[in-house]
Amino acid sequence: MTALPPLESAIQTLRILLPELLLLVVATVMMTAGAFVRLPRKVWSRTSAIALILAGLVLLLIRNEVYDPYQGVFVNDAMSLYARLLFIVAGLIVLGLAHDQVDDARAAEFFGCLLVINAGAMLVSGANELVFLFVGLELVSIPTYLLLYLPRRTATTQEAATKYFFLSIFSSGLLLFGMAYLYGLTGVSNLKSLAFLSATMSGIPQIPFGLIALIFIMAGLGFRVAAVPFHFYAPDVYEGSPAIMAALLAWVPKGLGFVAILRTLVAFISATGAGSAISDKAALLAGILAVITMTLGNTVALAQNNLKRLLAYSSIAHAGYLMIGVAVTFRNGASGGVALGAEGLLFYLAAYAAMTLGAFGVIIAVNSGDRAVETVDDMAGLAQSHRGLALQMAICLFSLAGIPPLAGFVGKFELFAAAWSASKGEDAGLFQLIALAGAINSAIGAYYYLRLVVVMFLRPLRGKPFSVRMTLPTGAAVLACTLLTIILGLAASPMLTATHEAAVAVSTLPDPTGLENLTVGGDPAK
Amino acid sequence: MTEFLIHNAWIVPILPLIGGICAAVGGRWLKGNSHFPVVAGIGLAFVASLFLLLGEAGHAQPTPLGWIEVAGLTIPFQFRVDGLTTMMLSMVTFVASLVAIFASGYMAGDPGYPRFFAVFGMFVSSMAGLVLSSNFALTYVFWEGVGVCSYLLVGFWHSKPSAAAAAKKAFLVNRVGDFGFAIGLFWLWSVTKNHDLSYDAVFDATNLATIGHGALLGITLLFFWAATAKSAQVPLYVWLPDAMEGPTPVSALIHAATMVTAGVYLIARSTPMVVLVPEVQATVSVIGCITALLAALIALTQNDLKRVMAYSTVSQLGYMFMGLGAGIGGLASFAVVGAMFHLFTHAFFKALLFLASGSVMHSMGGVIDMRRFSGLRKKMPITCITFAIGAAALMGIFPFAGFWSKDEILAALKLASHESEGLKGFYPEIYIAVYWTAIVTAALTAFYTGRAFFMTFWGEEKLPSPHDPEADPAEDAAHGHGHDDGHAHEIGHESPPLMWIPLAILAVCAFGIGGLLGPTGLFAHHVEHTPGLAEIEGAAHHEFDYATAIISSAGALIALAVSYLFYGRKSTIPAQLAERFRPAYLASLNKFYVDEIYAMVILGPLKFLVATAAFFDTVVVDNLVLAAAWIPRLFGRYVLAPFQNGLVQFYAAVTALSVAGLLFVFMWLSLS
Repeated sequence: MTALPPLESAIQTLRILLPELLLLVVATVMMTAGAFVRLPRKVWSRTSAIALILAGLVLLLIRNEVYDPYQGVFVNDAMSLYARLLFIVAGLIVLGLAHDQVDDARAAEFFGCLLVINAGAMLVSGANELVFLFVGLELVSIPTYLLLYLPRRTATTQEAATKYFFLSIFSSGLLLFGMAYLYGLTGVSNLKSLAFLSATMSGIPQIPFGLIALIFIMAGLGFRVAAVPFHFYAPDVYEGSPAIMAALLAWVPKGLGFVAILRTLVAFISATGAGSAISDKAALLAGILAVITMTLGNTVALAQNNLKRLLAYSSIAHAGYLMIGVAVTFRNGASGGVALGAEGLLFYLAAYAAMTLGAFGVIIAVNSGDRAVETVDDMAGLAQSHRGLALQMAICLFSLAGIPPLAGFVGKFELFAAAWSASKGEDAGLFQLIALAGAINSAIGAYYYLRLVVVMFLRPLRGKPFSVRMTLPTGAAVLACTLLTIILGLAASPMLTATHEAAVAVSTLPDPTGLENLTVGGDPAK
Repeated sequence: MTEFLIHNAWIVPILPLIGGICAAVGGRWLKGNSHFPVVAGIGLAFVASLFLLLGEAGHAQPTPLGWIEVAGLTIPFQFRVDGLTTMMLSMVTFVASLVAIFASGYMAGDPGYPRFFAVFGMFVSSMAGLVLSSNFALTYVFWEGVGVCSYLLVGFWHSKPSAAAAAKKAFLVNRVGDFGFAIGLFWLWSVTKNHDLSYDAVFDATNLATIGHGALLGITLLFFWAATAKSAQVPLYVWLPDAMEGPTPVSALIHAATMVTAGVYLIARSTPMVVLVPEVQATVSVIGCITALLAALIALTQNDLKRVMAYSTVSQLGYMFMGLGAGIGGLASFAVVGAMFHLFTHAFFKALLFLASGSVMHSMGGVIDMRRFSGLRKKMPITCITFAIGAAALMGIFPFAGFWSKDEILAALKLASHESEGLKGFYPEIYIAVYWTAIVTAALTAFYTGRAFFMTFWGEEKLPSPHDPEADPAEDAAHGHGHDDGHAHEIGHESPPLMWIPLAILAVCAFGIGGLLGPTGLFAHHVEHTPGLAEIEGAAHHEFDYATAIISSAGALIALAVSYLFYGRKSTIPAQLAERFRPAYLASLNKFYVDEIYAMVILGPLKFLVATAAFFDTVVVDNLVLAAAWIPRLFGRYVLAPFQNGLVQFYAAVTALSVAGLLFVFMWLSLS
């Protein structure tokens, strides 16, 4: 493959970035126009929905466009397609939940920000360049700050927004520091080239520098996914923000963070091959983070009574489960046992999106009237007055607890099976321990999810009756989440095929023809 | 048409299922017409079965459709059309459609009318699937389906405690058998080639040769264990007599066409395996013989008409197993065909007898105690004649259907005692003992059947009244609920045509079908063309055994005459006999206390175990669980939660320190 002239390469890049560009253009127009015209919020939300659907269609049209992965800033592989589609579908669900959660005055900015967040997440999905990936991450972070500030209702909202802002900036700093080391090690910022170099150089020449890069990047991205010990913001911010923002924070940064981990670290670390010094350390690091994260998330969740805090700790616990996939992938890459780590991770991300957004959707719906539902006890008796809603919530909670045959069960099974099949060779004990910890944690986690189900179905109503104003988009979004939770559990194989392809794409190197002149410290363009 | 049906045999079980689903879903609107979809579904299934029966049967036609495909286990929805299957299928659907028609009259006005027909459809569908299946695993699925539906139907009047208890008993006893089936299946799966559980693969001669004698012995014994539960043999027969707590059409269905024939069918189907282990064959025969005799002895003294019929079913099933077990060596095909022929004829005359009993019960306002009515021959002439035909068939009187089939079994037993002479052990003695017991049992059968007939239809006319000494006011009320809601009719009249027409059709079958298909060899010829049966060596025809026929007929006729002397006229002999042999009489009346013995020997220790387990559960396990739940909670609340203090600078500091700590640890790890 010879290098393309700059103009042509730019055009090719733009072509595969069409969905994101579309979203960004629509968002820009909306935010600009919003300053001058005052339109009802449904105009803006509908425009956003149309933009997302169009972006999805465009994405399907361009899915076969291939572009030299060792040059481009963006790769259009199976992983990119899977993650972008996932973000678009989840984005539509979030939009459905959000459509009436903002007043007309701020609707243009609100929905514009949602679109930009989606575009940023999709950019990260296929990012093949350190700087580009960072831009994608910030494209998500900055509108998130805006969204958190937009309500400006109370001191707690502002406190939550401030906390998130400071800690997020701090984590971005950590991430950049790690990325700088990664660049310094190899002298290239193209991720595939970076992976190729680390593979052909039989490991990173300077292990300590590699470790610094690894730990800082994991810390920076660990903040996004709310992994312990970078999780502190989550409970405070979820509790302080409106439910729709909590739903957004529970899903987008987590999906984004794991996709970014796969993009930056997996290719580079697993390319060094199982058993290399850095891959062992990385697996150990991710394994430790996984076990600590899920244990802390689940045990602290047991003591929570506030619904949003409960779901915040639940989201922390799920970051731990997902981190198992990272550990296995660090260790094995696309080789190894029957189940791939990244495969389980990507499947669980989709399952997590459906069940968490579904649970938050029900909380948003029951809060739609004048009766505030803040604590677990406030949910008492929901099944008597709103059987369907309670049933959907219960399905999402059962899935979160990992009860068969729902999506959460299949995802957990895939992850634990991947960990188990990775338990070979020297650090077999580590992966057995991880799988065991995962299983014990699911048992602990079941307690607080089922407690909520018990409260909804078996406890009598307390205080005022529920006032639910169910609108069509919210209802459709919640129903979509419930159905996805069931379908992904009952008929998981098509989805598993897709995640398998994506996992292979992200953790293997394309055929590196014409890269012989690549050297450490050299410029790949030369 | 035939070709199409053979390749799409799944249509047969699907039709009743669709009918059942229609009744279940549309029951709210169909109400009293809920029987239409089910009767239509079963009727169409019968027509389809007829096509299969008369069409190109005799060779397997699997129609696979993927179902379970996991590593090492492939179970397709695989059906077969061969001699045995088409025979069973036609019999099941034919009897079931007549019973369904009868039930639409019998059940009229019951509040659970749609529910009844919904489950009825599913029941027939499961049974059709069971006999069509070409794979042991799939057979097991339908086997369980039959079990579930029988539970639902026996406990149809679930508000009646006795019905609920009977349903539970039927289900639990069947579970004991299902357990044996499941273990047998696992075993078979682990030894058979490629773990392929389809009939063709299992019965393949080279495959059977590789399995080994010990494994075959175990597997076939486990299958027989399963059969003893479904087909009500010693020691698991206890559920069947209680199962008449369900509506009478259900009893007719369970006793004649579906359910109890499943166990016989399973053993007949497994013939290629069973024939390799004579030990199991002898066991099957002996168990069948014990069952036949025991049930006949119990039936001698029962006062409940349906209960007499129930024990006679148990007894006749015993005959079938005697026949199945008699297939020593080259006899296998002859003996199995004989047993299946008895199953076939029995289905008709037993359905007839049960429906006729149901007709009596319907007419008597739910009373079924034979001491409370008599001389009904004038009030219910059609019921009387049809019952008489069924009874004659059951007694094995020439030329009724039962004569031909029972005789074949007896002949097979006699031949088995000759055939087994070369074998090591006491086989000839065993088979000759079984043979004579069977002839004695035949006489006993004739006696109790005659007794039931004469007590019900002969003597002076008497209708039940609440002042009978045997009347139980509570029972009366309970029965009244089930049968007569909305039926404001007077007691003692002939049943409506919807009920007696099925009786008449069945009576014609019970009279003629044995002579038509037996001596002409039509039945044997059809069933022998079953892959697996046909390959067994020496499937030759045998001479009609006149000696046996004469002995058994003479015994039956004498017994019939005695029963007329005892019950056909006013007589004090039975009472005197009961007084003279009081312990024996009481033992028979109380069913030899088998239920009580089970309660003591099995349920007692089990209850003790349950109590111990419950105690252990509440005291030890519960507290352990509570502790396990509390420790993480306390840990979370008092150790981890304080870190969440809400101070952003603290969070940042912890994050930074964690990064530093991780760096330190990993650097140290990589340098050391």
